[in-house]
Amino acid sequence: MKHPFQKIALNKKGDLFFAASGNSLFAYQLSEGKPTLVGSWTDELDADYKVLKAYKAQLALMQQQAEEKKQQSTEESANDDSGEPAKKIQKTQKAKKLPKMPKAGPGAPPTFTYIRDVKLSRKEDHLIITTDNDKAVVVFELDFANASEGKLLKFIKRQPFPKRPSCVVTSLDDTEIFLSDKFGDVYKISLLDTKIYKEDELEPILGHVSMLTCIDSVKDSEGKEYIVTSDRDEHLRITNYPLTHIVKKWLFGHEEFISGFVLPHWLDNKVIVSAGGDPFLCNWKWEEYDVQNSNNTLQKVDFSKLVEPYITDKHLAPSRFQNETNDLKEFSVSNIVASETLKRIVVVVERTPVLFLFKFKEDGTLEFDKKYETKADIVSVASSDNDKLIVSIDDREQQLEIFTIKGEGELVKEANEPEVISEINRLNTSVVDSPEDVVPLFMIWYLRKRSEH
Amino acid sequence: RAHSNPFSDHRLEYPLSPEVMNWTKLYPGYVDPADPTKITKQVEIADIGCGFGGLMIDLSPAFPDKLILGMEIRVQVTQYVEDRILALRDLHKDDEEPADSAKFQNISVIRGNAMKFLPNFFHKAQLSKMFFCFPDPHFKQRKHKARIVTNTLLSEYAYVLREGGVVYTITDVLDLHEWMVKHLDSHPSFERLSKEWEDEDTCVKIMRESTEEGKKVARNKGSKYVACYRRLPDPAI
Repeated sequence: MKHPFQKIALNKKGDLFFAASGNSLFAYQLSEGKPTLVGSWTDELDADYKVLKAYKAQLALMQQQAEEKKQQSTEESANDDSGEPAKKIQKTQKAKKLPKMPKAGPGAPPTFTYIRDVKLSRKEDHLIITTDNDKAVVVFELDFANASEGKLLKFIKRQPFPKRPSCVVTSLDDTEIFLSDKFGDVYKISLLDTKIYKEDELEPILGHVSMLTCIDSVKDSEGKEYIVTSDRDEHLRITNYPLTHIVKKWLFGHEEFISGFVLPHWLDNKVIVSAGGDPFLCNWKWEEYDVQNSNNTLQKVDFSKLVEPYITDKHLAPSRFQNETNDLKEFSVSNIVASETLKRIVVVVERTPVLFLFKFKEDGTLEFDKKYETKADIVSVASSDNDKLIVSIDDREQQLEIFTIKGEGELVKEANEPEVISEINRLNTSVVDSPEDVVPLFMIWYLRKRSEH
Repeated sequence: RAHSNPFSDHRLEYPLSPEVMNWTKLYPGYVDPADPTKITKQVEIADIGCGFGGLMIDLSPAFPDKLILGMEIRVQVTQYVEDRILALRDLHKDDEEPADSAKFQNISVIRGNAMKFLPNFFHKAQLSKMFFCFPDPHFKQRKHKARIVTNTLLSEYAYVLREGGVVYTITDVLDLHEWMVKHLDSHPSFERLSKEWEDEDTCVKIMRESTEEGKKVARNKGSKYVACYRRLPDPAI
């Protein structure tokens, strides 16, 4: 069985489609009729990487200790010529006995090696992905000259980080990569430089004491650059760049975790739309926003009525956090995308088969426009600046749905959509034996905060 | 318990933003007669991880015109400080001397996680002094992010501190002192104050002598390491 696409991306033109399937990444050319595979990469890192890393560190330590001991005993025996060398050698050998490689016992949660985030650089000449197992950023140059031979993805570097990456983006000038992690820190590495840093050489450029969920860069109307970060503790923070020790402001409005935000480029970066565990979107005029007067700079757009028909038993809160009647249902936004052609904010609630489109009115307020249902629950959404919107769905047969944007922002399916999808699936060589081997597709609900007793 | 994990989701109460924070219950002596949902002053001094409240109790008469807030993450300790302040207020409610006495109405405590939610309580540049007295040393390397002074957190402290405001640190753990000095020294928003300045400053004197931890260290004849930093102006961007 083919592994589903847990994360997808499109270039602005809409003719290059990137899809992560388990620990493999596929690059497809979509322009002419039948899609072709122009590049692929599989993460060969051992699934037991973490265990191996700890094991190797332990071995190195033991070896070091043994050597120190050996040296000590040689020194001792040199000083003590009446000693019993035979006994001492025996002792050293005993200390050298190697520990067994630890193995996960029955019932241990499965570990996956898989690709989490997939992002194009702003100039679309590089692709950056994050891997789950070694917590790394992997950079590829897009080698268009060799695309026809299936060699579009030219590996540049793989930089592991101390904590699991959550989101990756490039600076506005595309020279730096910003990486946010689940420990709350943001790191900066050069996009092009191939030097790999050791863990202790990496220093965060900014940080929250909370899991970071999304990061992007923005320029204000005076041309000053900022980094925007969102976290699990309802915070959206605007930080100066490159002087990242100066916090510009916080945007206060969310009452639950934030899972993501977008900066619709057609609105000159004046607007941030954010969402997460709240039943509303926040529409911010972030530059003018002032905590002492948020009336005209923050709009909360409630979508609970819209999503209600799609809330099922899949949204029941975990039993430990249930109410007395066992019917507490929770929902969170898993995808928020700004579609340039549609001029719409596309919103997906986790474990629902529907796209909600929101549009801006003349006065800058955001309102519901229309919705499009899909065959199965939506996993990931990718939008081009041109005419495409692709969603990956939790359906082992179909895997994708491809929408073409027509006229006044209508989403339609082309006649050849089934063939295009089946060809993409045929070229996906990431296979799993059973559904248990599929990486987790719905993880956002897990960010909801539960108070400790 | 002696410790609390600053990373976990405690059942914490914190305002959605500093704008909606209701201070009237904490400082009933300063409720605005014109608007009983507001107080007439803003908190200006914060004691982060105030422990049993000894520092605040000595700061109260020294700064009778300033509002002082202690933040403490441990529930029982917070409760104790709250009771202690209420008792002091009651005991001194009829004091006539000195004339400017705040009668402990100017100090208060909240249970909170300053590492996560400081900007939810305080506006930009609201504070003039922040105290970090005998913080949890978190000796283990992998726990260093849990320390109250880190490069990334200092930027949040710099946000709530006004220009010229002061960060006070004191600890009996040399390793932690060196850690705090190293991080504050390398942070562009802070500049270390001299030994002479420390010797002249009232707060340093109070900090050395009045906290419960400070007294304990003195009883055990331990060392106390002090480092104070001034908040520098931000460069023009």
